[in-house]
Amino acid sequence: MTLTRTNRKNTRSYMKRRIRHGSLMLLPTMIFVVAFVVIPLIYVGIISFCKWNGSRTVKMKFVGLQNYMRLGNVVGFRDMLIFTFVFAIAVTVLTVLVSLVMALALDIPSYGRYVNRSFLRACWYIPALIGGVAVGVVWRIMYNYNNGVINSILDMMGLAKVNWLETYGVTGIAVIIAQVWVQVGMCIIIFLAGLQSIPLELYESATIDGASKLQQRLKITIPLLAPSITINFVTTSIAAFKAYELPYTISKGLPGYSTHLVTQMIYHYSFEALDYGTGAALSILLVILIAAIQLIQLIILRRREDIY
Amino acid sequence: MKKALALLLTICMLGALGGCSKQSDNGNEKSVEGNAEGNTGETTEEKQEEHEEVTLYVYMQDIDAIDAWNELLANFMEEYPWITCELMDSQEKYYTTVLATGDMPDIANLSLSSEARAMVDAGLIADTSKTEVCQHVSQDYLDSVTYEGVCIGVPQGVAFSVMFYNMKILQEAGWDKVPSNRDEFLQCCKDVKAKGYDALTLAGDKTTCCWMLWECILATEAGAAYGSTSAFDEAFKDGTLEFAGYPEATRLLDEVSAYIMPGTTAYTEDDVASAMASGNVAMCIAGNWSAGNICGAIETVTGDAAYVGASLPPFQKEGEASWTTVAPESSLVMSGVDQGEAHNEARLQLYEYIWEPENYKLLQNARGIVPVIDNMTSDQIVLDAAIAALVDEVPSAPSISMGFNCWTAEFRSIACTALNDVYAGNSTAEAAVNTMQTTLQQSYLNMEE
Amino acid sequence: MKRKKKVVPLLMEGLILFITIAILLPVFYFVISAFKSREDILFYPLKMTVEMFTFDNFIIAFSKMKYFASVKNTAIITGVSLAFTVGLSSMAGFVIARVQARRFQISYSFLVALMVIPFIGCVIPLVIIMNRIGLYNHLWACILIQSSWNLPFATFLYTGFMKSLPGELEEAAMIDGCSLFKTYLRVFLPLQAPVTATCCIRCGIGVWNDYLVSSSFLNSAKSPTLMVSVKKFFGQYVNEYGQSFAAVVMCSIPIFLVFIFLQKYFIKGMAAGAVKG
Repeated sequence: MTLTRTNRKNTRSYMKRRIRHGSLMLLPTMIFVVAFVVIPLIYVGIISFCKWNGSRTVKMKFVGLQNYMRLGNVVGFRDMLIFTFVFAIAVTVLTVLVSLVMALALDIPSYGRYVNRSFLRACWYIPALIGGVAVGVVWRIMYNYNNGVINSILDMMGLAKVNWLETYGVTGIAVIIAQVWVQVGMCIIIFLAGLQSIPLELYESATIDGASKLQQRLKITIPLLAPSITINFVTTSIAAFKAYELPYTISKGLPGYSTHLVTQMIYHYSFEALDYGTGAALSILLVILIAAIQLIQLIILRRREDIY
Repeated sequence: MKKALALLLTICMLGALGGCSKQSDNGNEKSVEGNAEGNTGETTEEKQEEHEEVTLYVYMQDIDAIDAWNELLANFMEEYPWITCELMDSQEKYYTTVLATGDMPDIANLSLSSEARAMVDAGLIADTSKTEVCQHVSQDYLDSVTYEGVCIGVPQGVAFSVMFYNMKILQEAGWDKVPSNRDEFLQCCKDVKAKGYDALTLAGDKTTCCWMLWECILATEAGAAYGSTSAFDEAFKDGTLEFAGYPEATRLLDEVSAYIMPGTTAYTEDDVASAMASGNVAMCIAGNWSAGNICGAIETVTGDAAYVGASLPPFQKEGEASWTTVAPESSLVMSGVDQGEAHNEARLQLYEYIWEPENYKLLQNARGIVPVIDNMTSDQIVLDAAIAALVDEVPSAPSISMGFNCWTAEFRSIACTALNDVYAGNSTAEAAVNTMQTTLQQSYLNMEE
Repeated sequence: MKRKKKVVPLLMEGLILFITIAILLPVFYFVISAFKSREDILFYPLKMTVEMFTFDNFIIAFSKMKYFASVKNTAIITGVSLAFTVGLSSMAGFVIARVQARRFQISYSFLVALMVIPFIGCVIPLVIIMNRIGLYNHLWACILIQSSWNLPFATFLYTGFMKSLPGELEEAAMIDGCSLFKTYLRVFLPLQAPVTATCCIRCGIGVWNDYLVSSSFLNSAKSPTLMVSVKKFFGQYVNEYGQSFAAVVMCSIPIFLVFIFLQKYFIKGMAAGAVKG
């Protein structure tokens, strides 16, 4: 740097001033977040060590780790944990996969149909625009064994009707399909943006070097999309773990506890059984679970990113 | 772009401020934190015509007769022009936030569940035993809604379980009249199935209805063993009721479940009516409160009201009387929060107003409830033909209380999940009954801790 | 050679079309059911003839759900909370990305970690807090909560994008004598229009379609909001599917229009800014 003014500005006091101003700018965000996210979380943590029925006039009774110890005895706990993991993993993998394939397909310029593609992009995002309350209801009606749309179509094609909402295993698939349907749109948009940032020269030089289209895809596109893949994995998995309304409306956790999610269990204990201690313990468990998974995921994905 | 954003921001801020100042005016009236300056302005020297402006909130959980309620409230507001009534939308788990904040709507509907008990303990529900309407209700009903000396409110009606039939399908299968005992019922199911229809459906999604099939079967075996309704209820509430102790009932549950239409466990009551309207299923077991929808559905699909059949659930042994399950519907409760003299008085006036036969009949006609109050004339009550025939039978039929009066939320969830598994064919009745028994004993053990 | 080249593209087009139709099937079912009567929805799920077409559902839904009041409240909540979210998180993202200091890196990790907290568990504590502050039953309760819970994700987005802008911009601004805040306001923020658009769409849709927060913190008679009003069509004994679908269609149209409008901005611009973690 040759400008003396710039050099003069690189003094310690200037840096200190920058940090001070920066802190001021960061402060409102931190205030909001601490007040409305962190403090409720601490509150939940405190409740998880107490027994409380939610009434304003009833004091919370401190019971130590009892709520956590009894979690294992909660009916359906094992099924619920298994399905929460299966659901989150399946939804994340399927969403990212489908949206990646679709983004690659939608991005191929050789068709020259650019207008169609904007329209298609909008189409793929529509599922995310519809309010959660109605989406669950629509899917539940569609999965109806006797009059549902899906079984009607299967019937028309000559296949056997499937009992979507009452069969162990199949109901899980039904719920996963619905969740993927909702989350695919946002992933595609992020992938499309990522794709557009890859310079075309890379493809051209690869073609000159004699690489086939498929090789180009594998060796150039996907590695350079690594940051987008990371973002999509992280946001989709977090959303899948926190999903509550959609799976509940479709299957209510039936049959048995095979499609029960941790969030549904939290809802049941907090709002229906008025047992806030157990509900809070489950919330804390969920937070730890998601945090652990995200940590693992970030480590793996960041390493891949750095390689490329 | 930047300027547009800045403009948008300013507009939003102004709008929010404008919206907020309007809210705070209403908020003061509703706030419970002792903010009673506005309301205690009333002085004793005021003329009769001078009244404090009051706003009352009516909250009906899972409201159905919105139009009837709006009409009733509109009439009330005409008669009492200084009172404004607002009907709130149904919100999920609203009463839990009421418990947490102490912000209770003026009129609401609640059954005597653990939530209601917590609310009584918190002083949120007023004792209605001194009101005019309670003079017209039998002591039994009043006792069933009294907790710790507080009568939470008069039940909106009486509920009992009914078996509805599409007589056209039954006639096609060779049955001119409804089955009258369990053997005939099973035979009827078999015949109906042989003709290509589904036999039985119910609202598996709603815990009350899911439990209803089992409790009607259980009543025929266990009810007699306990002798009286209250003895059975006490055993249920104490945790001493042994579900697995009646193998006949378990066996019958297995047999009946084989005839349940696939998809039933996901049905809401509305879906059941739709299923009846599609003409594919012959029978359904439901509460009398859904008679309007179900009978209407059967009439639509068959084209003639004569094809609607109804009876008390026919699960009894041959030669015995039909059992049914009975319960008071949720009560209309009145808030017990002190919000100033004028407000409290207005609230009481609304409560009494609703229960006057002329006004209550609006609700009754819309929903077809069987009323609990005894000062209504027969031309004020409008019941479906099928239910009207049964109403006389119910008081004399042996009965037990519907499950929702006796169980805890935990038991309900576990038991109905197990039952739905049986209905869907995923598990045996024995497994479900054992689960129920274990849960009942376990949850009452937990309560004692 | 030429024929072979045409087959693969054709297959891909076919695949895209097929999956797009599969994706749109529920939407199609849902939209045409809004125009049908109750029986027709039940008996002819996918068929739509001219005789079946009716606006009745829309008319009934419109009056029953207090449409204008609901839209007004929802728009206020969405607009103000978006203003907060975008304003605060872009500032935070700028500071974290451009000012080197340990405390900011820690704050960033802290904020991003907060994304994992499920809202459902924190509802009752928040209700109690809001009641103590005195904002219960107030629009501001919803606004503050929505903005706070969207801040972590928005900051995550902004930080990534602020990092990718070249440092020369900052130095040029410093030479011109801008303070940190001015640099942010005059130089960096305008360049982040596409990220702002993404943030607005993502968070805006979440707030507009939200049911849980509005139903827990607002009095539905005093301050109706869209999704809470839609729920009223699902009564205990009767679900008016046609009317509820009509209601949801009416709710979705505003955001659909906004999405179409903003779509151009953020896809083209995100490409220019490049997506980097």
